[in-house]
Amino acid sequence: MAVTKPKIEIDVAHSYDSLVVLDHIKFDVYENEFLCLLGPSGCGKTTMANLIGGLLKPSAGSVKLDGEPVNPRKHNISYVFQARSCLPWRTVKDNVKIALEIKGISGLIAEEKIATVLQIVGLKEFENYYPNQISGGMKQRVAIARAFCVESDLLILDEPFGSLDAQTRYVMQMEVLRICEKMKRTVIFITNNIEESVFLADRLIVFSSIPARIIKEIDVQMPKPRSVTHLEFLKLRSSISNLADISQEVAGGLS
Amino acid sequence: MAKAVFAPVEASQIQEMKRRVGKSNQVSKRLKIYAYNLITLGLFLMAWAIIQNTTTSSYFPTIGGVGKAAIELATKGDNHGFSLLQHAWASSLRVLSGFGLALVMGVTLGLLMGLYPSIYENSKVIIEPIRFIPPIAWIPMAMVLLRGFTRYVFIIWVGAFFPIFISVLTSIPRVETILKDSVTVYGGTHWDILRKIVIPSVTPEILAGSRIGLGDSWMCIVAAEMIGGEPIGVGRLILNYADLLNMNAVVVGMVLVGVIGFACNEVVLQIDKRLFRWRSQITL
Repeated sequence: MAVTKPKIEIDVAHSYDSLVVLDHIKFDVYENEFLCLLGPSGCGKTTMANLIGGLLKPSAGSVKLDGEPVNPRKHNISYVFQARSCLPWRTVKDNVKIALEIKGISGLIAEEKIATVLQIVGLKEFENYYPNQISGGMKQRVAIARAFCVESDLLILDEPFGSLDAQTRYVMQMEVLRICEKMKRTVIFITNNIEESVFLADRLIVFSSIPARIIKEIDVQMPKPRSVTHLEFLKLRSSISNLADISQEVAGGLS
Repeated sequence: MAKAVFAPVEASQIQEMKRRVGKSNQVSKRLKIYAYNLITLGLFLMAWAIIQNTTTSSYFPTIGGVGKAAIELATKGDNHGFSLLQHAWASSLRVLSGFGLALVMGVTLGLLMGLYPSIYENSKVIIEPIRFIPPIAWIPMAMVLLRGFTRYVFIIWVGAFFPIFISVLTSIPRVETILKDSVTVYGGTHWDILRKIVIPSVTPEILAGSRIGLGDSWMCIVAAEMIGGEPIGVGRLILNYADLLNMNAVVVGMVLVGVIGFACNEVVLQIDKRLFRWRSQITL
């Protein structure tokens, strides 16, 4: 493992005008790894995701994918946004299709890919509905389907399940694990939910509150699927919530 | 009645509900609207009748007089020999040409300046003052410098261009970044963003601007035709009979403009409805 070349090399700092969002952040991501970025809300996680996805240029440093500066036109990146990214004028099916259209994939191959991925996220019967006609959780599943229907070097999920109810959230977490297992993807999963990150991650990077620094890096060794009531799971979970910065954030939120 | 409140749902009620699912009651709904509109029209005519019977002015247009004038104008033509249809057609052609030109230019320039705000910012000093000059103020210039058909097209263009241009221009910054990002992140070009995100996003605004522009067009054409020299056009018809103090014929001209405008608006609304089925919402 020690000699594996990293898939993604991140070494950045970022600020908006006078607001420093990311202090020096440096970490690598390896091929087929499921990496979780965990941090309190408003700590700059989405900024981090946009930097990795090549949607934003870092104020300093760079993000390299396969040794080259990240560029969505050159690399195949899939991205599930935190907010709703459905195009309201396209049906569920055509919303998934847009990613394929851009990549120049059409015809029968595209139809097949869309059908498969809609089946997986459970939206097959809703393929001809418009986003305004389906629930919030379903819209988020459309975005997930879109991200999974294209071949990608890197899959970024930015708090994808934030708007889902607990039950759907659990189902979707299992689905993501299953799909990643099957399709072998390098995943960066961003969340503010400790339990979720422990449930999903091969490796976990904990961010401080703004300006974000890395306060801890944890290799999660437990086999998947994990049980949220397993002793080891609970131990890890509480050790993360005891990290100074995160508990401060919670305390701050309560006062 | 307390018993009724707690009554369980009958199986037959569920059957009935399921039978109704998927079958729209659009037709009966539309018929109802037509019926109510007929009643409203009846009430309006009644109010008109009351006023015409109580007024002392001999110039006041009467329902019967307007009807008679309409038939006469339609069949025999006006005092210059032009029929109602010819007037309506002449005005409509002018409006559609000017409006069409305004639509094409308004959308193109609106997109251009919306996407490159610096063009607008740096030419604001011309664009904004011109916007506030009423189209009617352009009529003298148009009369002196242009000939025939083109002078009307120009006036209508001035009137319809700005509502369309401004609505496109102001809607572009409101196109959601996340939608553009979701094209960019999959490797989309600027052209992809324009085609797949920006244009569909601003189409509702284009339609909304068009409806305003269309209304302004009819305002402009009547004014322009009243001042312009051509003997044909609804504005000219109205002015001709105003000079003769024949208010019945004047009202015929007014109603004509109203009805054509109403029809145009309905056409735009239908396009709007067809194009934007996605806006209809069911809360699930």
